[in-house]
Amino acid sequence: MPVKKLAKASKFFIVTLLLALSLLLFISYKGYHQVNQLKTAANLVSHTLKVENEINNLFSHYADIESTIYKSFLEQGRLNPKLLEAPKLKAKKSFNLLNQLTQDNPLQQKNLKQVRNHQKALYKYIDTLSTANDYKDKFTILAIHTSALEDLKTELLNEENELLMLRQKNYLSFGFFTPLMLLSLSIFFFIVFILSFWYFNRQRKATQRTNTFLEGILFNSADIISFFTPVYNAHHDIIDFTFKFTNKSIENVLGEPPEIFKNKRISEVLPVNFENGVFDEMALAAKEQEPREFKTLFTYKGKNTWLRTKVMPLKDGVLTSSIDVTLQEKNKVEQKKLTKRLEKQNLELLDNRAFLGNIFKSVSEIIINLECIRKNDGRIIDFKILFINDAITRLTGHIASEIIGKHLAALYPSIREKAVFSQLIACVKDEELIDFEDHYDIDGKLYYFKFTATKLNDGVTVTTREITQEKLRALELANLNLELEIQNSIFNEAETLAKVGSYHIETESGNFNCSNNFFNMLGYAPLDAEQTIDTYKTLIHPEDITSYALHIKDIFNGDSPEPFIYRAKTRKGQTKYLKTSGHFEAGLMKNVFIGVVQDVTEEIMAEQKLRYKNLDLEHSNAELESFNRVASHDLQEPMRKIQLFISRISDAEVETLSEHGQMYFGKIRTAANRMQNLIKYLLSYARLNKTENDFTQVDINTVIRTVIADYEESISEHDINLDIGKMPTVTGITFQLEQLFANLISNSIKYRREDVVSKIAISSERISRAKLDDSFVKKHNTYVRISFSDNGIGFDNAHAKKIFDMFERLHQRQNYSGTGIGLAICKKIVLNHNGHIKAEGKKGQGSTFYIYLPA
Amino acid sequence: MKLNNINIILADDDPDDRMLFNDAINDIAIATNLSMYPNGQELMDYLLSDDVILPEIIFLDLNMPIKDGMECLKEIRKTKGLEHLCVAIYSTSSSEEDIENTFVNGANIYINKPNSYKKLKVALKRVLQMNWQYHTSSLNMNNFLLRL
Amino acid sequence: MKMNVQYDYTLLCKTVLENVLDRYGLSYNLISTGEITITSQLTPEQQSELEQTLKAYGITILKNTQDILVQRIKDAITELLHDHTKNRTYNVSTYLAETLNYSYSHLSAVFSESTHTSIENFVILRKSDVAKQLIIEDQLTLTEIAFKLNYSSVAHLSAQFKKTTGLTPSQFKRIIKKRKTQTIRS
Repeated sequence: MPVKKLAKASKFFIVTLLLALSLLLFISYKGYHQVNQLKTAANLVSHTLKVENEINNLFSHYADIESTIYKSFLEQGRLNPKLLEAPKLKAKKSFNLLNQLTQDNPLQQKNLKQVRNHQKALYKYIDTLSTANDYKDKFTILAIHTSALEDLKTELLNEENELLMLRQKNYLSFGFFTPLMLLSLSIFFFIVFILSFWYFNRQRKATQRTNTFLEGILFNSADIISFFTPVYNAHHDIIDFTFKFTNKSIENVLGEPPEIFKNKRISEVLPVNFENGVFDEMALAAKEQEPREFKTLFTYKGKNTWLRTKVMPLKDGVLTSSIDVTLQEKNKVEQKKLTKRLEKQNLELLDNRAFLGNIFKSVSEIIINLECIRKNDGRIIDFKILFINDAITRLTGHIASEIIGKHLAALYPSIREKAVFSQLIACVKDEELIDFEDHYDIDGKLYYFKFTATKLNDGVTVTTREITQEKLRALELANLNLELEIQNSIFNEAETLAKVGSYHIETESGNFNCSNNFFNMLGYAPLDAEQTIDTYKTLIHPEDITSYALHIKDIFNGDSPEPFIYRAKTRKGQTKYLKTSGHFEAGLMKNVFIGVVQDVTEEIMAEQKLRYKNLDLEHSNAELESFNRVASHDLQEPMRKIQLFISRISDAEVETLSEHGQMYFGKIRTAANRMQNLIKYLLSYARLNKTENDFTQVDINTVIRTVIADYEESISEHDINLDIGKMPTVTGITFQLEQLFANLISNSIKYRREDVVSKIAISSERISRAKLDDSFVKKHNTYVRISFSDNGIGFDNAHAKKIFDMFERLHQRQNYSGTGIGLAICKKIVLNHNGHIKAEGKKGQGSTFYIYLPA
Repeated sequence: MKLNNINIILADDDPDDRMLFNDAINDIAIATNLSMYPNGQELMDYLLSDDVILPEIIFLDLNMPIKDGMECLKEIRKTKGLEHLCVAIYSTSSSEEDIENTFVNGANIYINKPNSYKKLKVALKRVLQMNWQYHTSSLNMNNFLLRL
Repeated sequence: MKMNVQYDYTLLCKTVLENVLDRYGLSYNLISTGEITITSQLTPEQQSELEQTLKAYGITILKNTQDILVQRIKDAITELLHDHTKNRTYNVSTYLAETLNYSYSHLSAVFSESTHTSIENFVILRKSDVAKQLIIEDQLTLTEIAFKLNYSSVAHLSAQFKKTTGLTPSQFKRIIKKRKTQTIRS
């Protein structure tokens, strides 16, 4: 690792440098010391000189004093002490200074002491001088003092000179070494500097080379190499990283040039790193100072890239190297998919195999793969069974797996005589797909087989299917067809007899098929005309063509039309009435409309005749009725007049008549009354019409009540007992039912017995049809029977039927008034209601009338 | 008497009936004013004339020439001013339906022409009395139906 | 458009009466059905004018004391018939006697003289009239109507109805119904 090397080199260099440095320091120190010594020496020298100077000074001062004294004496003849003050002071100063300077020199100190003494002495003397007058002596003593001082000065100076010489010598030596030392020092310095510089330069060059090399690598590297420094928060946790460096490759992945990222934080430019774990890895690497490797999906500006990143702590930050492994990832996924598919296909293949195996097992057909066994001359003499499926077991009982490999004819010798064998040979020879049928007798039963053989290599693949059932069915079908033909001819005969024709239309194709009689009915032989719908249409009566067309249209629309009747012209020009009806049969393939046409001419004719007859009857009935009504009504009018005038005469004039006249008049009256009654009844009889609309639900109870109310007076007058039971409600005409009961009640009142309390009992019950006797036509299932009985004079039961006849009376006119119409009316009413009335009488005891009405 | 002269009109084509009616009315102790018309047309002419005095009751025979009773009845009921008149059908016996029909068409009364003078008088008296009761007692004229 | 209406006659008459009286600017007091006190003074001319106006509405001023009493009897009867509770407990004679403070025989005599028919007849007539109205309204069955009018049974009602009108209640109902459909068609 160049980095390590660099480090190693540094260490070595550092050590060397340290050594050099320490050496330098040492030498510097030494030099310094030298210089110091020199300095000291110089100082000493100068000091000595200074001392000497000072000595000189001092003694000059002494000299000065001396001179001053001389001067003073000379000038003034005396000594002015004041004049000595200044030099004394100076000498004192100088002495002090000298003293100070020679502090370290004991000899000199001693000398100085002597000087001092001398000085003292001198001064003492001087003092004396001031007072003495003897010059010469004084001056001689003075000169002795001064010469002493001079000696001392010379001592001092000598001492100093010695010292000086010593010191000078010292200084000189130093002066010799020190520059030398300095020079060598600087030379050493220089050398070290040169060496360092060279070394540094070399290192720098190396570093630069390495840098360039590194840069080159980084630049060329496809990996994204980045360096980050961590960003710490207050707790010294890493919360972010700052991009310090990133190489060009980042542009490939992120699309941005590396410059953009420089000095930016991850949170600013790649916040996604906080989500995809990259930041965590980096932080962890930085914290634990351990390299980490991981792979993440990187999403930046919509682009998804897989990056395998290595994070390495480096100095104060982390170095990341990321490789774009998107493609690899994709490939991995693809590979996984492919592997899965392959697996699946394998499974499928296995399944298929199993399935195929099952097919072979389950199929009912026998599948055989045969290989030809040839004689030397190439003739095929047998076949080897290469494969046979389990179906063979059902047929021959052999197990498929056991007979594989065996020879066909060896197993089934009889096969040689069958057409099968030759067919197989032919198949191999001719190389054509062969289809043939054959039959076998297996265990007494006859089986039919169908073979299909194709050539395969030097052999055949045969599929055998048992078609016994089919064959049998085909035979059946042939039989049925024959039967059908027979039936068809019978059918045709029948049609002719019944005057019926049939046809069927296939609505999708428009195919029209008809039976022979279809056209026969109109006198056309089957081959006379083309038998299509259109030709048929030409035979239809022009007035009916539209409806016929509609009918056909409905058929084609798929609607089952209503049967309808139309007219057609026969060959001979007659008009026949035909009725057609039919329905749809939804077949497997197509919808077929099956229709039947019937010659209903006779019926229609008969119907018409009947209708006319009916009309006639109705007319005559209506005439009769209106005649009845009119007659009755017109008869009524004169009758009423007669009655009116009879009553007038009766009221006012009758007394004026004679007795005979009155009697005759009475007879006129009676006759008129009778006639009136008759007319009244005739009229009401005539009015008894049965119109359907008038039928309503009528409560017989109400009817009887109404009638009784009408006859109330008579009933109370004759004290007639009424016993009325619960009555039902029937369908009928209220008016008529009221009339019915009115007549019965009126009769009962009229034909009452005078000797007993008259009773009328009315009751009802339900009776089922079965219990009724055959005396009347029963149309309904249940009837109500209302029994109306009285205890009047009754009648002979022999007349039971006769009494209902019009104008039949069982009594003399004189005894009982009565028109003879009353019961006839009752009968007509009951008949109107689809019922029946019956009478039973016991002469002298009473009569019962049974009224049957449909319930 | 109790009322002022009641105005009565009879329309009947039969002269005998008219005569008898007249006699009967006069025989009743009620002051009346009777006018008679032989057919429906003349009746309607009078009713629609300007100086008509509206009768209290109109007696209508059904069977009349030119215009019969039913027609008159319908016309009367349709004509403004006449619709509230009390109309009695005075006719020979008809079927129940016919009778009902007259009521349905607006007749208030149906009188079956009696065959005795006495009965006629009784009927007429009853009719007049009933009519008067209805008029004086604020009974509902619309519901005034009477069948004799 | 077909509309079926029901009139409250009493209210109708009262309203008309009030309208007319108001039109004349009269101050008055309606005491009961048929009895009014007019406090304003009227001249005979005004009186006859009022009479005429009222007559146009079918309202007659009764002059005769007899007439007045008769009217009161009639009103009382009408009231009795309309009030089911009363007509159960009372019979007509006692009711009238108590309400009008006359003996029944007196009332009977006055009534007959004035109307030429007895109170009983009138009652029957009135009952039939009410029955007719109820039948037309078609809200109640015949049994209920019979009960309301204090008949002992439907049969009784039918009988009396028939006696009065000559028609059975069902006939009557049918006719009225047919009349109605007739008018719609026309």
